[in-house]
Amino acid sequence: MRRLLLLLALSGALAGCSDSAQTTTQPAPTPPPTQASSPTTAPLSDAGFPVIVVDPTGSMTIMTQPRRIISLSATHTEILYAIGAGDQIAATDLTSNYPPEANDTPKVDSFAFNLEEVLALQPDLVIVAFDFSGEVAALDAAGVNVLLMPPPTDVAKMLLQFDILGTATGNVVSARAERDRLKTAIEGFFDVYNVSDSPLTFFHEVDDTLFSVNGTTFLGDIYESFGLVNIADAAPDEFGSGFPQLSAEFILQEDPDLIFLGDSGFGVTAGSLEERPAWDSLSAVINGTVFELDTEIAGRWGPRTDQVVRSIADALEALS
Amino acid sequence: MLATLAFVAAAAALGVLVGPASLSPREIFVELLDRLPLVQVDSGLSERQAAILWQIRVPRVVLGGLVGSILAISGAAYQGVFRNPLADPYLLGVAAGAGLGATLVIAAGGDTTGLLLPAAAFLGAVMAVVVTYAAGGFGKRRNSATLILAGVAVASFFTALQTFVQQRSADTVREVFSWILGRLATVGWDEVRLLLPYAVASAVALLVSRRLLDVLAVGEEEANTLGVRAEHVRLFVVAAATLGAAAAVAVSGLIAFVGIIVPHAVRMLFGSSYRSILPLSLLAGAGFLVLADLLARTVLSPGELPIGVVTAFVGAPFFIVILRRALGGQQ
Repeated sequence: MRRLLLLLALSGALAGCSDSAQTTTQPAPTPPPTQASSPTTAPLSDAGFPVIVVDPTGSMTIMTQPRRIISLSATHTEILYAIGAGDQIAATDLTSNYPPEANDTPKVDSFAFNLEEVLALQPDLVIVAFDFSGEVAALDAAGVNVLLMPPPTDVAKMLLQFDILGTATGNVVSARAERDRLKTAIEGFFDVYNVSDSPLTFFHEVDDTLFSVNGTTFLGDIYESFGLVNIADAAPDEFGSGFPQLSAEFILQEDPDLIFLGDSGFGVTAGSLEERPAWDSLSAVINGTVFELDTEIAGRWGPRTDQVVRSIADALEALS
Repeated sequence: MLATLAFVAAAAALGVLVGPASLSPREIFVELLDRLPLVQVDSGLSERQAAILWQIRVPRVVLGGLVGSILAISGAAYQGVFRNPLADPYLLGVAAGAGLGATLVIAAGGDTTGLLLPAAAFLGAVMAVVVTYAAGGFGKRRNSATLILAGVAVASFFTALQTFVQQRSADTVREVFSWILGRLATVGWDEVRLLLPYAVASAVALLVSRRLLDVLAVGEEEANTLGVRAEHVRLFVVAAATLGAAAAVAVSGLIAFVGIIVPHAVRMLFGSSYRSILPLSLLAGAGFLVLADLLARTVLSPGELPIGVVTAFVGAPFFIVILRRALGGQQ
C-alpha cells in the first residue's frame, strides 16, 4: 500500500495524498514587546515575530525570523525565491532546480531523507510537501520547526501557501504581492478563454500508465475554471489521492475533445499516442487537439503555475 | 480437466464481455462471429468500439491468460523440483533480476515504451537465476536447500542494487513503481507477440518433464536409484520455468502470488501428482489471472487498480490458509 501511495504521490504531478486539512495562518496573539509592530517586514529583522503558523499537523510558533531555511520541496523553493526569501535559504532538495540560483545552494535528497544530514546544516525552518518517511516527527523531535505544505486541492489553497510562507519567513508584504500577481494572471486567462457555454471534455495524462487528475487537485481545479469537463471525474477515488488511474477502454469510449499531456517530459508526445493500441481512432488524435504541457511546471504549484494556465488557454484559443 | 477448461472459457468470456466501455454482449458476440472465416455480419459497433474490443480488451484478456498460465505452471514446477510448497517462480531471483534490468533502463533514460524495457528485464531475470545457480553450486553436491538459500542472497543483492539505482531521481522512482506493481493496463498485441514464443517453449518443456517431477517428489536419493539424475532434471526444469517467468515478468511487471496459490488450489482439488498439477495449473492460472484482471479494471471502473494489488489481496489470505493447513498436517 505504501508503494501505491508513493507511486500516486510521485505520478508526474509529484503530488500525493492531498490533505483535506486546511492550512491557515494567524497573526501572533501578542506582538513582541520590544518592537513596534509594523506590517512591512524589513529583510532579516525580527519585526513581526513571533508568528503562529498552522499546517495540517498542527500549529507552531516561530520566535524569530528564519535565516537558515531548508526546502525539501521544489515547489516551495520556487515560492520562497518568488516572495523574496531566497537569501534566507540554507539548502534545497535535489529536485529544486528553479530559479537557477537554487542550484547553487547546498543540496539534500528529499527522497532519501537523512535527519543527520539535514541537522548538520543547522536549519531554523524546514519546509516539506510530503511526510513520506516520518520527516515531520523526526524534525519535531529534534526541535526544528517544520512546515508541511501538501499539494493544494484548488487554486485558492495554492495561493494561500504564498501567504503562509510569507508569514513564516517574515516576507508578508512581498508574498502578498506575488500571490496577487499570480492570482490576477491566472484569473485573467479564466475570464478570457472560458468555454463553459459549449463545454469541452478533456483527458489530462499524468503518465503513460494513464494516471490522471480529478477535480480535487489544483490542476483539476484549473481545468474546471476554464469550464472544461474532466473525464477523470467519473472514476472513483477511494483513497482520495486525486490521481485516479483510468482504463484505456474508458478514455476511448469517452473520446475526449482535448488531451493534455502532463508527461511530455517523460517522452510522451502527440505523435507517440498514435502508436498506442486503438488510440489512432480518438478524435483528439485525429484532429490534432493533443497538447503537451511542461511536465515540470505542471507538476508543481507555485509562481510559474500561470504558465500552465497560459498553455491551456493557448490550446483553447487554437481551437476557436 | 474438463472443469478447468470450462473455468478458463468462462473467465475468458467474462473478460471479453465486461469492461469499462459499455459494449453490449450481443454486439460483442456478433462482432466475434464476424471474425470467423466465411461469416460476415454487421455487429453495429462503431469503428472506435471495434478498436476498443480488438485492440484493447481482447489482447488484454489473452495476455492475462498467458501470463497467468506461465506463472502458475512455473510455480508448480518450482514447488516440485525444490519439494518446497512455498516456492514460486520468483524464488531464485527472477523478480529481483528483472527489477534491476528494468530500473537500469529507466534510470539511464532509455525509451520505456518500446522493446528495450522488456528485453532488459528479461536479461536481468535470467542473469539473476544464472548467478544463483552458480553461487548455489559450491561443494560436491548441489542440493535444493543450498540453491534456495543462494536464491535468497542473490535476490536481496539484486534488490539492493535496484533500490540504489532507483533512488537517484524522483522520475526513476515513479516509473519503477508503476512497473513493479504490474502493468496489464496498457498492453496490446505487441506484448502478446513478445511473450508467446517463450510461453509456448517454456510450457511445452515443463509439460514433458511432469513425470520426472513425480519421480523427484519421492526424494533425490530415491530418484537417483531409479536412474533419474535429480540434478539434471532440476537444471532443465529451472531453466524452462525461468525462461517463461522471466518473459512474463518482462512484459507485465511483477504479479505476486499467482505462482503459489494456483498450484496449491489445483493440488487441493485434484491431488498431488505432477502429471495433473502441471497441465491443470497452466489452465487454472490463465483463468485466475483473467478474472483478477477483470477485477482490476472493474472494481474502480472507469479507474484501474494495479493487477499486483488484486492478486496479492486475494492471494495473501489464501496463502495464510495454506500455511495453516500445512501446520495442521504436521501435528
